[in-house]
Amino acid sequence: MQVRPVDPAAQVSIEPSALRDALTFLRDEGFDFLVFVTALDRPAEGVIELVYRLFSYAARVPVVVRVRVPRDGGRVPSVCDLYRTAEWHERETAELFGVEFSGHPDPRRLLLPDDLEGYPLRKDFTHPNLKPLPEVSAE
Amino acid sequence: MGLMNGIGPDSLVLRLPGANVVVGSLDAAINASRSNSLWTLTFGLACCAIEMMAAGASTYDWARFGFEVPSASPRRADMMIVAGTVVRKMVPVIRTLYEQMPDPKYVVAMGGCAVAGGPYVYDSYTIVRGVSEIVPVDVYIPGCPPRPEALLQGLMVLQERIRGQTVRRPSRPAGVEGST
Amino acid sequence: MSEAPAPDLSTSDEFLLNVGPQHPATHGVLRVVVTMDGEVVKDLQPHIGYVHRGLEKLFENRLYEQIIPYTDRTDYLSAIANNWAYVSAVERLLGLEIPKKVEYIRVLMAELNRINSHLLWLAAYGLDMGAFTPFLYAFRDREEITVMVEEASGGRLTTNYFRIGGFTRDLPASFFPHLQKFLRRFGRAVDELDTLLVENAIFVARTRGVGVISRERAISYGMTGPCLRASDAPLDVRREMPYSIYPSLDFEIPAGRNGDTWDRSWVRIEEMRQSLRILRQAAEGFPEGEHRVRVPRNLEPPAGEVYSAVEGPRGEVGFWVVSEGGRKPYRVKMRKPSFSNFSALPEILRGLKIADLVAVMGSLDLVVPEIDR
Repeated sequence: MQVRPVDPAAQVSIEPSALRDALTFLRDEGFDFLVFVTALDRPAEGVIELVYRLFSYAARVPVVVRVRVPRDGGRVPSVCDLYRTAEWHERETAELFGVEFSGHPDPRRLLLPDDLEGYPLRKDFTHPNLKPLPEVSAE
Repeated sequence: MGLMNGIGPDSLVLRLPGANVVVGSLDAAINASRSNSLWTLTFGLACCAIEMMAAGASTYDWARFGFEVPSASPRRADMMIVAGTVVRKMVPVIRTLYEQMPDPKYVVAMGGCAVAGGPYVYDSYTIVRGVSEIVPVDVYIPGCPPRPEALLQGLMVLQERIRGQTVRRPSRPAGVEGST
Repeated sequence: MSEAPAPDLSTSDEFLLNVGPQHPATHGVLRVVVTMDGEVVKDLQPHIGYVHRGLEKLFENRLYEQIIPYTDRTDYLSAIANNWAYVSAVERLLGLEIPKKVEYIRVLMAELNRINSHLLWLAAYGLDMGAFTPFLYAFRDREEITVMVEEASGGRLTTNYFRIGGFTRDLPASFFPHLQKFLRRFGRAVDELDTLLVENAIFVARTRGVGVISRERAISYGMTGPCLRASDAPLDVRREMPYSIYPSLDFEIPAGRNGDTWDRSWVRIEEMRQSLRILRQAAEGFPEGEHRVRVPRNLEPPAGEVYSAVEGPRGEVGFWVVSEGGRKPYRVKMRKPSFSNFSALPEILRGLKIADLVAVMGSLDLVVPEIDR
């Protein structure tokens, strides 16, 4: 999928093993603000794409780091010690997408109730409540 | 004004020289004091809580109707206004709070989410479709969020309901066995 | 560690105290399990998710236009900021050019919303600390603003006012006279509330020096908004990633010096004053023009992704919208300030007393449905 340049952030795609080095480098270069950590489910390609958005207050420049992991058993190292905000963002991404952040100090569920099974934000998540929108004919 | 509301058709005011004496039934007197002094369990969950606070604050002011004391503890609350979205994780909490409230107790479902699930009812994977799935509800107030005036009207409906009760049987909503 | 470690009662005064989810001072359904040693907080475990509605999944099953009312209800006190962040994201995907008048209306509504939100913060915070009078005064002022917002949008709280491309209707004729009357009066009201609560001796004693977080730690925790600015960091989305007409408006970014609870409160009072400045300028320079850009009835932004953020009353509110063509988005991620602000609470509170829990939590100005989404 082409990413149209409506967003000024530079997009960087890296391997999972390079994540910690990349983020350490960016943090030392002045990207001190981790805006969010989330993911995109791409079932057609069999991957989940993790997205880390960083911002440098000094240079007023954003950057987006993308990491692809397999849908089954996807793992990346946790960056909680580099950015304290990652602790909760990673917990949320883990429970909603089923990605493991190894080395996370507290990998419990954050938002979801304990009895909910599955990973809600995956495209193949099933739940009795989910149903498509009703079709409305144009008047 | 509140006391006069509680005096029903089976009471009358005897005007004696130098004094007025109110003669009425025991039910009317008890219901008058109950309906004009309802202590609310502060239970705001989401957006409706703000309109509930507005109903309790200046301009709308529910203290005029007797809802002066918002009680944080369920142990001394008369009613629970469930204002906001109810999700699965919250169900045991609501049930526990309801059971901690002593009888007679009332539940007001305020806002679309508490009434029936609100805008999330269609396909949210955590929504509970109305708080009536968990606790028996006395008054439903629709709106998203309902205006403070709508909340006040709902509470006045509750007051009407209380005035129709009798002390011989404990409070239960209509349709449940043993209700008035 | 999956649970808080059980305290050793044979050798210490440690015990676990559960605060919430039903609690008058938690501003919604938060739950915090505090490990106490006597009166001192040793550790704090937040538990959230009690109002998690699964919105991000819901958005993948809605048309772009249908998502706007849901954005109000995440952070209902800054409904306008949420509307704006989402609508501007979709507008950027569509490549729309927004008319000047629309930007001015957006700024007017956003700043009124900021004042409204800070007034409610003050009301609820006073209530938590045991002061009832600011609650009544602040709500009286809130009603004045709510009437103006209702005239324009039809909604008191969850306004659902912004549309992709502008607004359905222009501002009503009654709006500007009300606004002028408000601008004349409100400066004194801010001073009154300032003296009532923030400059009050008991409040100062309870909040000065309490709950300090340094600038580096605050940024590491992803804190934004007044919570960050109190820690000597005058960083505001309106200056860091400027949007709309803010570059042409003249206003200051108040920043505290110590990063304590009092500074967080002071910053919000100052922000109300700065919002008044912005409102005056926007009202004076209000242009003629169109209040909307025509967009197709079946909205299908081309494939792409964009992150759009605005400065809400609580901090940076951002929407990351991924489109793959089609009428429904592929993914919508909501970046909410209270989520990150709240995650800093254990660090801020460690070592303080239990009474400080209420003071600090109130100063973070959390709205829980925004944390849970």
